[in-house]
Amino acid sequence: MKTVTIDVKQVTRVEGHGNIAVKVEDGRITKLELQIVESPRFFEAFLRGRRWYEAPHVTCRVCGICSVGHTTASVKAIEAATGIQVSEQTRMLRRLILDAEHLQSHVLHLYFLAVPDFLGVGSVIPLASTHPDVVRRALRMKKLANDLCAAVGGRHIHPIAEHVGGFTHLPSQDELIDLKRRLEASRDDLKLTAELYATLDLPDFQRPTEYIALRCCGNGEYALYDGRIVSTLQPEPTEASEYRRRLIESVVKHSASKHVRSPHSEAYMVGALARFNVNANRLHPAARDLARRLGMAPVCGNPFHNNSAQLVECVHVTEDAIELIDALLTRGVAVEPLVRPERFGRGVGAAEVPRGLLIHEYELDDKGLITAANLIIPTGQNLANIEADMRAMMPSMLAADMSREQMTHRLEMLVRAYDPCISCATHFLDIEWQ
Amino acid sequence: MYPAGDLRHVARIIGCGRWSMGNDQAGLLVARRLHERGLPDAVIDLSEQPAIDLAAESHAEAELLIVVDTARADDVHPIGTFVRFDYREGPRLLDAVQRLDSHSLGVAAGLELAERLGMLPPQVWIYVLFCGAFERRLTLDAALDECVAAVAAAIERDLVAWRARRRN
Repeated sequence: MKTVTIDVKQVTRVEGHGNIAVKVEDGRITKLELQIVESPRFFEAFLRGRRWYEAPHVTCRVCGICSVGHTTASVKAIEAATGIQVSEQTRMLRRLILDAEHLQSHVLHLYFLAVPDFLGVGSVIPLASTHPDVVRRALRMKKLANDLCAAVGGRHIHPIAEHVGGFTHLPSQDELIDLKRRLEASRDDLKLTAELYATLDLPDFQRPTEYIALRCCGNGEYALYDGRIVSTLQPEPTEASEYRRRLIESVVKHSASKHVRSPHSEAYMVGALARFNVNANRLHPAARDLARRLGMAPVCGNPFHNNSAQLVECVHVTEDAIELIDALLTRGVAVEPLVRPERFGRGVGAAEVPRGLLIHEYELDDKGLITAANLIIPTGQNLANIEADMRAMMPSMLAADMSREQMTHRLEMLVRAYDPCISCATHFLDIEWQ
Repeated sequence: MYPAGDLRHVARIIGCGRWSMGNDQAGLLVARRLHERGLPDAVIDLSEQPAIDLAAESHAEAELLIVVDTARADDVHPIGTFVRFDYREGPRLLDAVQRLDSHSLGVAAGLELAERLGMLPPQVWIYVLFCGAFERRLTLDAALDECVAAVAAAIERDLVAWRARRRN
């Protein structure tokens, strides 16, 4: 019987710092942990006492990759807490910048973090020598997504124009026309990306789990900005404000991030694959067609296909962004005053951000000061599922007599497939009071 | 940003940094000052995403690329001083400056990618301004005001010499 110790100190090519610790003794797994070792962030604590309108600009600093997502969830939560109804133009611009962040983040993950695994190099740097066209394409797509974020949000990351109640900066007509032209041109890059991905040899691993995502009711949108919480095990929708009925947080010793389970499963998955499994029929036809060509059909139980789902979403958000820009150009973009609060109370905001379902919840006192905050981060929701996947993968790897290095690499690839953003997820500190 | 044809026989200058990160904006301020001076034969950009701007578009059509950025001061390089070096001389910048960041690509990674992709011109000069803390604020330390002016003047002077050498 085999005895193996795997001890990866800081998995590379993920956002933040996490370790993999596995111990197999006489063929039996005695330890298996994805340890989140990054320092706690305390965002929920230092939001207390801040004014209602500060929350989005504080929480967008949780992360440089997910800053639009945090801003979006935050403005929605504050608006729910204050009775603000935003205009259709604001809603369209928020959808557009969220599309841009999905593109920005997915391109970064697919090309810079995941692809090196499949092309046998350590990072994007040597890839520039071995596959220069691939890297040029990646940089071109990343720049486009960054520029789209800047046009709508006022900056490439950490948007300064997106506020509670509306926008304080609007993209010009010329900017929108130019971005639309570049988005249309990027279809060629997406096509080449799809051709590249079709050649990659994804590990054949299946472990169906519960997939949780937002789903829009009525309007048929592929839910990113709006929607209610559904899952593959419980399709009956739950309002985001009732999220505690669906998402149950708990503390584990080896992680500075909380784990989350559902009433139906000890572990579940959020993110691109979960959205695909829940909402595939709502994707843009071009994205649905790509999914079919990549051999994906819901419910897809291979977590490595999260990469494929991200690529499918790149096509979707590109087409969605083109349609949104068309609609904005048709109706015209006009300066609108920020909508002001009508009351102060409790509010929850939910959005699908690149790594999955993100929830912000705030309590405001009668002066509009934040008295309590809770942030449920996608990567935190995925941690238990990643560990469950690792546990399920180990027996087959041991049976196949894989070397320790091969097993280590496969486990790292699995973690990377989830595109974890560990810096976002770490906001818990277990203090042992003496 | 600029059609390739516009870059022929010119120097391209990229000031790097973040406006919201206090002293990190020094490279941007140098570029802005040079832009206001209206240098001949120079295309000037300010970049808050320097890695992408350096590597996503070719600068190979230009004859010279000048990158202006900041670094933390130390005993050898006190606050308010600056250095200029040739990118291709000395140790590999990516090794000397930083490891790959888990959240973004920095200037060193952008230059490395651009070099490997054949997007850098024959000459690449790096100007580094040495600063104290990089913290979230909109202003620059007073000690750096003079350094920004000095770097802009040095670049202008160096460009004059470069043009003279090119003519000969």
